[in-house]
Amino acid sequence: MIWLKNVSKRYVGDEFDVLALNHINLEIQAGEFVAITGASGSGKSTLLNLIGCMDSASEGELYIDSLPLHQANTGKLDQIRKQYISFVFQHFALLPEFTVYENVEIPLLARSYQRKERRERIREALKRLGIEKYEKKFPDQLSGGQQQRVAIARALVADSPIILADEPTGAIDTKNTEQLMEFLSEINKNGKTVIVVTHSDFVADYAKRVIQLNDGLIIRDSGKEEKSHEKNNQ
Amino acid sequence: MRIETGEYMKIRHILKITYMEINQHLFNFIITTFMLGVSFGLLFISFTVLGQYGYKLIKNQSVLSVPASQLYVINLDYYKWFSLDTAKDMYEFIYSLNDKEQGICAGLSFPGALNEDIDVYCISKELLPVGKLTDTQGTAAVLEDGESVIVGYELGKRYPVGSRIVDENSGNVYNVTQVLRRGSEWLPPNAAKGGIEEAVRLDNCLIMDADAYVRTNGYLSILATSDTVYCYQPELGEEEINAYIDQKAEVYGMRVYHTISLQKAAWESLLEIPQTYSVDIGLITIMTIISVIAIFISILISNDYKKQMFGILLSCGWTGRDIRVMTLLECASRVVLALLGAILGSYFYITYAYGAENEVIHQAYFILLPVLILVAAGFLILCNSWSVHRLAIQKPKDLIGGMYKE
Repeated sequence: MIWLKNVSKRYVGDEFDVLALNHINLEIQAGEFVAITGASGSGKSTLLNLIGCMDSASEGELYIDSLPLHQANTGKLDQIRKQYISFVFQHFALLPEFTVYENVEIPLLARSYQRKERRERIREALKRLGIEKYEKKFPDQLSGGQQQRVAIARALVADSPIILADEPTGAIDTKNTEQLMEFLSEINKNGKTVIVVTHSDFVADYAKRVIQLNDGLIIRDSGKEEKSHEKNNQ
Repeated sequence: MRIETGEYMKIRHILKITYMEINQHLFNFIITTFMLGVSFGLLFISFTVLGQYGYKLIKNQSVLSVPASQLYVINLDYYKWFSLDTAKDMYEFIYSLNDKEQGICAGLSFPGALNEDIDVYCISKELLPVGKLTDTQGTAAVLEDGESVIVGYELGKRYPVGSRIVDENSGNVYNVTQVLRRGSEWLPPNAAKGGIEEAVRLDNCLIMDADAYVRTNGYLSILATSDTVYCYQPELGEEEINAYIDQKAEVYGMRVYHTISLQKAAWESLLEIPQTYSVDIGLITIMTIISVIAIFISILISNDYKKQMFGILLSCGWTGRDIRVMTLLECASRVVLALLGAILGSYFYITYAYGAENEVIHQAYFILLPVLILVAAGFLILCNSWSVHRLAIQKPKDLIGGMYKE
């Protein structure tokens, strides 16, 4: 479970002082498929960074499985990220000089899998995403859709319980967007928590819960609405 | 300390990605490693050349078996070497410097080649190991023991091969290992213009210190001699020695320009190095700067690629420590390879340039080896600290840069 209690994030520079998140309270249960939406600058990527241990909050408490992220130092955050999180980025974040196979291998190397197991997991993930024939290709030899599949394979292969996707469809066409969201839905059905940051209503429709942000505040949370609806019905 | 299986795996995965990373940039890796190697090599050679003077200075060591601080080099009228008569005067003068009662020994690292009625000229006991007679052509006796000598034809009548010559001055005994053919002569290199008239007849000579060989026609070829006159006294200071030498020089009509202890000479040589080796020092500086910049660029700065790579690795579950170790390994492999090349390359260079028998420079080389390794380690720490600093000042989300946008 992911739990945020009064979390704020403030960016302070010489000429700016931005409150990106303003006392956010949020609970995401294991196995949920959540879409975080909002306009540019609303704080959605900041929220994802905090959950993904890529950044730390200025204020408030954050927990993943009861582990307090707000009290963790960089080394501890690295360990929590390694144990719980996999990322999918808008621009794929593949290493251009490494092959598809090598790119997908990176998370497994970090998690100290044996060579044979690494090979099996990589082949399985590539096959699942229909890109097994590209394993020796380099990212720039693939289309945007294929590269995003490689990025998803890389996120899948580590078997992390939480998949964070930041605008995963932002750099691919409609057909590939649909396929990608089907993959993410399937991953979610297999028990993973999937959190997607998106501008697109089409993408958000795949999620079971939609959280809308505006100026660092949650202005809509379909999960809460359902709960209160259920409460009212009772 | 026992390494846990997890740790072992971790080392392997860091090694693997380091290898992958190096393999991706192999050309860059080879070029920067080569440049670093050249820079280390030049640094090492200059260290060694410099170090030999320092070594002599610290060890108070001379080419002879006496302390350098008490061994003086006497610079005389140079022309005296070229004429037989004046050479004789000079030998007489040097011979006169020997004084058993005062404990003064003098001699020269030069063949004791004398003519006519003076049969034997020996240098005194302490100065005997001054040189080696090397058989460069395989025809002369090989004399490296400081006791064996070659004698001229006339002298050979009294001292045939296998006999012994006793130095009346010092009491040293020399073994005669070869006798020169009648009429052998030596034309000192600097007397070439004077032709045969200025040649030194060797019929009565005793040769104990020269890089020489006997030619098939029986003539002696002296390939190299040093023309240094040495004077040794275990207690006297430079001023007293100078006064003593000046006094003797006056008697023999010699002009002494300069007398200096070997230790002081080593110090002066050390001070002259920046001028003597200014080109080399400039070259080393330029090469070092270029290689350092090249490696910094290729390992750490290389536009945003490295930064993004770190960010991607972190997002894939790598820890900051893994990345620091990876950078260290990448840098270390460059430094170790460059160091290895520098050590081997510079060893062969100094052996070739200064001769395999130059013990001081070889000793200086091995003494300075740890210094170079320390320099390399410092370089490594510098590179790694830089990467640690870069990682420390940025959050993972900043490292991944443009791929992760708000």
